[in-house]
Amino acid sequence: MQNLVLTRVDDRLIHGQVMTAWIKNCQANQVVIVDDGVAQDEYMIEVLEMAIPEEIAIGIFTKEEGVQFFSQGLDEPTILLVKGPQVLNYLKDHGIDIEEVDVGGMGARSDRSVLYKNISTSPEENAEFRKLIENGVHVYIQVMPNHKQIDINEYLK
Amino acid sequence: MLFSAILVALLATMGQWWFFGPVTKCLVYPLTTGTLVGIFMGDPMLGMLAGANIQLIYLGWISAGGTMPSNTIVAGVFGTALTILAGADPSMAVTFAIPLSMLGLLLNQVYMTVNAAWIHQADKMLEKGNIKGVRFMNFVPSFFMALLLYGVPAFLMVMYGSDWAQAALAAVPESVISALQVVGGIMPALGIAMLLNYLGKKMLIPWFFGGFFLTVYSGLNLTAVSIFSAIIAVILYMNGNRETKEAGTAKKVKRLSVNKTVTTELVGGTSEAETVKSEVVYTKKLSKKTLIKTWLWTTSTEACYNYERLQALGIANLMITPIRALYDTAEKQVEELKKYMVFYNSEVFTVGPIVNGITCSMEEARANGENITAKDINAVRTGLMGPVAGIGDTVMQGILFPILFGIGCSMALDGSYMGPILSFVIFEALIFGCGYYMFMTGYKKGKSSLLTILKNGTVDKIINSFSIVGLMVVGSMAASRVTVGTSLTVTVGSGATAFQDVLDSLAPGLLPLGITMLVWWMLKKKVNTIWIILAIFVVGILGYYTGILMYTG
Repeated sequence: MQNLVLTRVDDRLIHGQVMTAWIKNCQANQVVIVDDGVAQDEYMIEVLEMAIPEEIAIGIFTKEEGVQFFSQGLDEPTILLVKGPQVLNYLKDHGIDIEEVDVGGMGARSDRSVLYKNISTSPEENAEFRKLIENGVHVYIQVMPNHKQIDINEYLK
Repeated sequence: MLFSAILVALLATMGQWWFFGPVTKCLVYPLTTGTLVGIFMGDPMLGMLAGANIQLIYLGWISAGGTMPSNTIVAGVFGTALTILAGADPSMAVTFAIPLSMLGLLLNQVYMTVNAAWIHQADKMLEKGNIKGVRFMNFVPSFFMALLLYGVPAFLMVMYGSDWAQAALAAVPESVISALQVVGGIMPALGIAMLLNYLGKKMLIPWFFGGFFLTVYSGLNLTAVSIFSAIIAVILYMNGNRETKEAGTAKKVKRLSVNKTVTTELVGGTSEAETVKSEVVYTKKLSKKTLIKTWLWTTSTEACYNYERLQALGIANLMITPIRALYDTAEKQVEELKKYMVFYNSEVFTVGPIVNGITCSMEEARANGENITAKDINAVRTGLMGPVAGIGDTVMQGILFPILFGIGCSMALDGSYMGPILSFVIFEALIFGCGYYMFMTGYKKGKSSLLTILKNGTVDKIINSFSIVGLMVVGSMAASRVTVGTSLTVTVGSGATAFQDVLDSLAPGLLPLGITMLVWWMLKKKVNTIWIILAIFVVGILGYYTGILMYTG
């Protein structure tokens, strides 16, 4: 989709890598977070709004709002941040055109095992990634802009 | 030599084994390590100059979230040691350091990968109720890993590398060394351009040119330029403060709504978060002593940094102190500590300690019977670690480090030991002060503390005004530290005129400025830094042999 400069799976959402590297590298003006939990958490909304640089617009939406938002197309270069692949499949299923997905940060948890270096995934998440790939989405691991993109396919097997 | 080799080996080890963050952070920076290697190897001046030359390339490299774009530990320690061993010119240090730093990335990856094993050991020990084991695992095994990966090679190199390095350097023809000097003269343009790319918001770019031309025309050195720019920044900061006070607002938020409209809202700076008066009477309080101890332990958050759970073990280690103070029985302590063995990664020097402070206040409330679950504590921590790291990395790596170490490098290259000393001392004072303030504020004000601090907009204003200082410093560095000129001559009539004089008559320093802008443009076009480095090597070497470029340092 036009002006969607980066779609990133990152369970820390906005943090050092996104703020110091990606926003600049992608020359984005807007950051959109689609996450049901965060969108209903007043405290986290405030924290995220405060943390983002002043010149960047920020939108924090539920899945449904995300569909509504993206279905209108984008006028400004935008970064989409989500915590996991599930929500991307939801957006995709509701007609949002996502061509590429960067897997940038998925921390270790008891239900996850290491997929690649500091990227850990659960079997369910792997299934969601496979579904994305089956639907023609290019899914790659790239933590920082100066890293090489690594096709996630090899590690999903 | 044995004594030197041991000291350099320990330095290399501590460059990676971050057991005491505020100090070990400086051992990642070549200006500090270069000087120390020089002292240990009996040639402090050469060490400092080599370190400063290496540092210049890496001023704008930001490592965030457990990634490392280039191993500056190896670049600084090994690059300087090799320069001293070979008895090479300090401008050659860059040529040694760059390939070493790339090889060094592998060392860092092995270190981060293997360290994950220690946290699994700590899991098991905690399961058995062995709290001391957690502390042991946080510090000891990672030390030996760092010793093995960094210390041993450094020891061998200093101990036995001297003859080899001198023979190798002697075998290199004089002209190649001169060509590499030209490369070394261009290379700082990369570090400068990376900073420019990072700090350069459209509105602020003129300050870069201000710094540049102030230096080329007035001949003022970097220290002078930074003093002037600091004065300008303070004036702008205070003006900004007055404006926001008059308007009663501070932080601007651009909020996107579902129908794509952007509303800019000014968030009140005076709004005090409501403090919830609790019914519960606190019988257990964390004493000042316990809090200070806990804050001091935050320095070792990255002692066992690993890919799997990053800072988890360090956090569990620092929480031992308040948990022990709040709970009497070992079983209870173990149970409360377990929740910290989960993935955690944030900035740990400037803003980050606020999260540790908030955690302490929540633990205290929980121990006194408030309705706070372990899950609540972790929800706050995992929610905050990202945004806090975003602000902290910006302040620390985007502002504090490049300005201080940029100035430090410049002073060092002018031959002053005050360069590395001042940058180290001021850096330490700032991160200790900042970290202590954030930790205590987090504890006293709890969850709302971060919002209170961000809402009054101070952080944004500091970032904006000091970006100006940064850009002027960077401009001044482009003028004084990109040391390359042209040796072309143009024949006009009977006399030959040096083309450099023609350029200088237009405006001094056009070539360094042009090169810096070119590298910046390449960065904007997302050209990989490795390609840029290679391009600089090619251009420098070809430029020298064709007689177009020369080293002017």
